[in-house]
Amino acid sequence: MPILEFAGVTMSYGAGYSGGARARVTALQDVSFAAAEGAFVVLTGASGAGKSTLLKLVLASERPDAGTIRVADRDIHRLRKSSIPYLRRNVGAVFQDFKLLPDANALENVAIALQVLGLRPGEVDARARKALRDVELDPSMRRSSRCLSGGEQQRVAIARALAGDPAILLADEPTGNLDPRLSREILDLLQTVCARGTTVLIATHDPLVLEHATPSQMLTLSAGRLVADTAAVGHVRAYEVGTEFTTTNGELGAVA
Amino acid sequence: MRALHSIRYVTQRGVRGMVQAPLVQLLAVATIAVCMLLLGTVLLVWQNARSIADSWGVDVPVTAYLVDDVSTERITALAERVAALPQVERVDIVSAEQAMTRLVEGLGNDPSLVAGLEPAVLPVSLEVIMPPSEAATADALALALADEPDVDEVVAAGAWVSRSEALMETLRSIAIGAAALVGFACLTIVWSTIRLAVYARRAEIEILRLVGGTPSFVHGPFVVEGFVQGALGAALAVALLYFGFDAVEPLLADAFALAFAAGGLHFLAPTECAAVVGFGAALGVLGSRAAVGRYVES
Repeated sequence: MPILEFAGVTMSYGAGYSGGARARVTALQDVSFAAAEGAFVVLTGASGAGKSTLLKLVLASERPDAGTIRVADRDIHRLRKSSIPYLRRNVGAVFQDFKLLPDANALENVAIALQVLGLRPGEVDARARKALRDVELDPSMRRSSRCLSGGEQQRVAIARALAGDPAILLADEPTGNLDPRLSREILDLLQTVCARGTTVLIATHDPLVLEHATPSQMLTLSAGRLVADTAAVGHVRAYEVGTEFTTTNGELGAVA
Repeated sequence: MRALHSIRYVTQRGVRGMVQAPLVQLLAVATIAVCMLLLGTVLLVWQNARSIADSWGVDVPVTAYLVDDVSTERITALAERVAALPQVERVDIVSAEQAMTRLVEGLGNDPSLVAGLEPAVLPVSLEVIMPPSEAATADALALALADEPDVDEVVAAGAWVSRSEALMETLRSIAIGAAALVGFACLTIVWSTIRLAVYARRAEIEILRLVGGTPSFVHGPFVVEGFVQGALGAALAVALLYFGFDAVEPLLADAFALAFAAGGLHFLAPTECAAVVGFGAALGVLGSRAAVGRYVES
């Protein structure tokens, strides 16, 4: 059973008024795919292709105009508003800009994801320390997150995303602010996370990721359309920008 | 148990948020205190005016002083006849001994002022209690009572009752107006400061929402801030009012000794002080909820 499933998802944003009518920009158009539990999925496409929109839909930060999105067999956009926080506890997310509390240290940044669960302080501390050790960081680091290197900050963000033991980890351009060496480290870490059983979905247009990653599934978006899904054509070991492949509807595509 | 840990976190985070911006909090608490001081002052004036009006006896529209040596049976019969009138609520018989007790109390419980005065020299009286709606008929009733053979003198406080009621009504309106004004001012102050806090901590809010914080978990610390601001501001106002009252009361008591002789001025009761603090806290909660609600849930 797929852990994540999109079926005919269309999403558009309001873009002001044009000629007296409300203009809308289509971010995703009839997107369908399924990701298996424990898969390492790379979502690629040029800037503006709709990668971030797709991740926002999985986090229920946006609602689709049409189609269904299922996480662990639950249609997440039929959830009541009050249930969305509980969905997000099952879907961890990391971002290019890390989204850490700048004045808090690594342990405090990770602990915040456990405090929302209502755990007792001792358990919060123990689990936050374990999450930091899992991403190969020293839990006793007292420096505030603003004093950490980019790689360390992204590790803290990954530890925070994984602290609550989510089923899916979303990563939106996780190497966007990192140099090639740190990017490879983060990518290796995400693959390790996946090997431990967490489904990982990385949205990126970083050529280094495309070269270095060994995804079990690769999705390619172009102008809001899903033009390639390697789950349909078999396992692909590595991608390079410009690599040609057959799209889901039989057309020839290329990694952007 | 999980809810308790969440409440603990939310409370701690709210207090930490206040400590992180002490100047803003201090200004908010001080401004709320000034506003609540206005409300407390109006409340205090209204309460004491009410109390003084009662001690003056303006709550008794007609008092009939009886001639000496009237038998108890005749006093009772007259009282029953007057009590049966439709505009009369009840009639209290005040004996000479009761009149003496009141006189002593009215003179500040100083028995030396009435030394040698026998209760028998004070006349028995009938106090005719009428509902406020019948105050206008007090003078007519007084005239009718004056014609009674057992009545020596009648004092009608009808006009005083009306004026007293009008004054009380005005003070009550001022108190309600002040409460509305203070309420609005406090809501605005709390709203502004919490909005600033929300803006300063928007990154934290975004992270909390991202990691699955429920709306009540995310806005809880801000509501705690609003609660503390409102309660502290109101408590400070009550404290200032108390010390101000303590300083002014002897001066007023000296200047208006006759007016206050019957009971003197008194401060708000502990339950009323608690109600003022509760009102401040409730305004704080409302203001913070308004400031943070839509932002957190958006």
